[in-house]
Amino acid sequence: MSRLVGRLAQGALLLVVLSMLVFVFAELAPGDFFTGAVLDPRMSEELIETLRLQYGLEQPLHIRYLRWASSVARGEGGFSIAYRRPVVDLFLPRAAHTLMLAGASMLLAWIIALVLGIAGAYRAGGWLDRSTLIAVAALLAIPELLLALLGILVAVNTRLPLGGATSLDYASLSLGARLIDRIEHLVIPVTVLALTSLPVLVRHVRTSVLEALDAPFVRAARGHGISGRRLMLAYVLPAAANPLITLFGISFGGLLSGSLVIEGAMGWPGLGPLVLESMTNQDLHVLLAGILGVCAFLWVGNLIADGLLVLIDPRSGD
Amino acid sequence: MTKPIDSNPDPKSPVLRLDRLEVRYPSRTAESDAVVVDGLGCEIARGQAVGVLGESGSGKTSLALAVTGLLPSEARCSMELEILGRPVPAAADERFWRRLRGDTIGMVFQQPSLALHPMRRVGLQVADVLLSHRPWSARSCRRKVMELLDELDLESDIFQAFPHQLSGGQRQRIVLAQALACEPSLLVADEPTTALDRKTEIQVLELVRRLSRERQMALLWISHDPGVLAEITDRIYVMYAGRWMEEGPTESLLAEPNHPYTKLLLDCLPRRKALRSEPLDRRRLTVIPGMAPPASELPSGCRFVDRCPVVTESCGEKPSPVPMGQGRTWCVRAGSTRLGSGP
Amino acid sequence: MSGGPADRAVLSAANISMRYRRGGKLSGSEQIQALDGMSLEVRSGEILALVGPSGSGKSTLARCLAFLERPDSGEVGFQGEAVPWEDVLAMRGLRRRVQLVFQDPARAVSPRFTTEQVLREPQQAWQQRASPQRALDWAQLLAEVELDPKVLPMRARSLSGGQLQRLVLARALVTEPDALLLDETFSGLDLSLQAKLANLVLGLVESRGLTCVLITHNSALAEQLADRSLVLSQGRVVDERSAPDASTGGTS
Repeated sequence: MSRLVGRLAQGALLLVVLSMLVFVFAELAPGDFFTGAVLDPRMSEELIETLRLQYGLEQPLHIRYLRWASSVARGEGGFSIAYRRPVVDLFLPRAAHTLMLAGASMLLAWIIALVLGIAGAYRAGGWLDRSTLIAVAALLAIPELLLALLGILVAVNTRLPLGGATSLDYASLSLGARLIDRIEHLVIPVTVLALTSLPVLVRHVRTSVLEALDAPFVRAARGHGISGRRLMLAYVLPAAANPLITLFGISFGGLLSGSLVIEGAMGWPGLGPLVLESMTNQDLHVLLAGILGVCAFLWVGNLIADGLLVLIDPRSGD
Repeated sequence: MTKPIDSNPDPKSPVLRLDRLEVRYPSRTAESDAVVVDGLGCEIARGQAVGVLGESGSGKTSLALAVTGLLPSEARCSMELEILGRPVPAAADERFWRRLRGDTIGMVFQQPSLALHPMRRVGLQVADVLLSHRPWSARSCRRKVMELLDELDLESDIFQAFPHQLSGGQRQRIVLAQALACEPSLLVADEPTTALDRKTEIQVLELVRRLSRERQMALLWISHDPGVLAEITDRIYVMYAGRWMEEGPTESLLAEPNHPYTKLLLDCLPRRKALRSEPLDRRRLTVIPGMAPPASELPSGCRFVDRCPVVTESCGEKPSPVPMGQGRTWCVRAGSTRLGSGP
Repeated sequence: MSGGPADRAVLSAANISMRYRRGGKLSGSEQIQALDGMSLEVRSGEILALVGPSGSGKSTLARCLAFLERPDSGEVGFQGEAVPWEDVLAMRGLRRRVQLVFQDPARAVSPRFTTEQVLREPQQAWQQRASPQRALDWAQLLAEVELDPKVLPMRARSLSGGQLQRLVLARALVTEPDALLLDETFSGLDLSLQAKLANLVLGLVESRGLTCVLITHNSALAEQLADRSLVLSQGRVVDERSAPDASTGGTS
């Protein structure tokens, strides 16, 4: 328990330090949110100066940081100059969409990876194993954006919708139809995102299971006549799980940052477009929230992985 | 080499009857296959403990793996094997062996620390063997495991322990419990006590001997250590480069070996009985000159010919067994050799 | 070469204790007393056997005597002087003079290293000798442990167990130590290999004038090779056996 508290404190500290770093780096980059506005003929220099004063951009770095921090403490998570709204109001509806996309594709990717990896390793060199390996290698060679384009191509040629999380007439649909509508909108983005992370996962699962199958205690178990499902479930898979759980934690963070790109390419109304936009127009608080979000996700993933390791491996407990 | 195989299964037939065992590995580089085991046969009666004495590379582990169907897939193996009078078909597949292993044949492996799953409670690992072979409920398996633990002088709360929480001796007992769970007729052990210190080793050996007597269980005990075999076996086969060199009752074989190889091997044992401040060169041990031939370049006759101190011309032919006392020696000079065995 | 008790101690341990904690923070941790006030002296030029069951503290003692681990209390001495644990440079120099050889040679060398790389590692660490003589030195060193110089460019993973064990011995000799600690080096080996290696060590002790500490659970082997043997149990010396005629200066 004390270990968990320690880890939580560690994570909080990590986020604080990271937020400071982002502030410093943003300061090092030239210009601010209103730099682009100078080019706009409708904006006078006086107006821009007034706006800068209004949003406190003239103040020294540490004051701006403290203002942001107090805004976070108030639960606003900072203030978006572009949208003139607290960041929380911008993030929450989009975060739900991103989580839906990332979570569903992660689930899908892991299920496929576990099935293909375990089945392939069990009959290593068999037709399933070989075709899986070829497919995985091909998938690895295709860039993410090309995959997204292929997804769009599929959507165009089928009845599957693309762009947005719901149809325009979503509000008028019945409950069941709403569910179907949401799922239909998810299919293509989830598949594309799952495919991008699949190759690494399949290979890791396969290697771990192969190694476990060759472990001396698995051979010993076979020597005692333990075989089939019992051998797989009680001996091979637990031994293979250790490295996979660590990978699970890392894939957690990777998937969220990966989904930012895919969202932009496929018009998914998640955090991706918002964060990308904040990067180009230097809407610092939004960018900061995005970066901290990805970081927190990675950290939570690792925490879950470590917790699982302690749970399944008796050696880590005492 | 042995009598024709009796095809009638009867309760008095030996637990294991092996003949013409040959194990070879196809080689990618050398022209000829690596012949690891070459035409071995032996019989083990109910309750009899047979030891195989051999050095690493002699093929003794391949022998153990062959009679349990655990040879790696690239190995080419041919043999005539009967277990409890029932012949094992030449085309026996994994499904066949799976039912034999752990049930009729128990197997104890080298290094108990590696033979147990590090993440599974040891009691369950013993129960798994029972569940794989008996149509019993989990509860009765558990009861049987408890009995086994008790029989092996282990506390019952060890059931819940993980391997890393146990000592080397305790782990070896758990591995034994796995092998003994289904009350096998034959226990095959490949150097199971090498990793233990002498005291624990003796305890484990005494335990196995007691159990094998109580249960009339046959033993095939493989070791490089004559001291271990002296402790536990009734009869010893000496193996070198894939062939038998000599076999006979344990006591007489170790006391008066007939084959030059056995004599030299036993001479390698430390023989000083007490500390004495002798000059260092007087403390030297006897060694066998030279090296064992690689399995792909074996001499055609006696396998020991290159290192043998009493070699003759007829050693170039494959030796046939010569009856010596209650045993046999595969040496053309058996009976006539007078090789001084060091006192 | 052999000596009586008047010889000074190369290595000594005075009342050393060592405790390990087993277990993590979550569950209650368990203290293991590996060494419990152990004292001993290793005399110059002798072969001293340390005999005891597993868990008697043999290996911990070996690591202390090789200056690899500092005991919780008590002093480790080298040639009559207490070892200065705080002085990193001096310790580096001392570690060169006492070499530890472990049981499993396959785990003691990187399988990807060639024989030459394995041998060069300690040499570079102590920056001894001029470079031009290197090739010659290796051949001579290998001959000393009865290895064919052909193994120099071979990777460790392609060597046999016996060759590896010899290589590990050769590596220990690179730094020209005064004392050799053999931690179960002969355990679990085939009889013929055990005999060959034991003879090799006897030869090295004689030709190089080494002091040797032989750690083993095989008391027959200890009696065969050693001048003196100490029986360890639960972190203490419980018995000392020496040759009855040792005090008279040795016979032959």
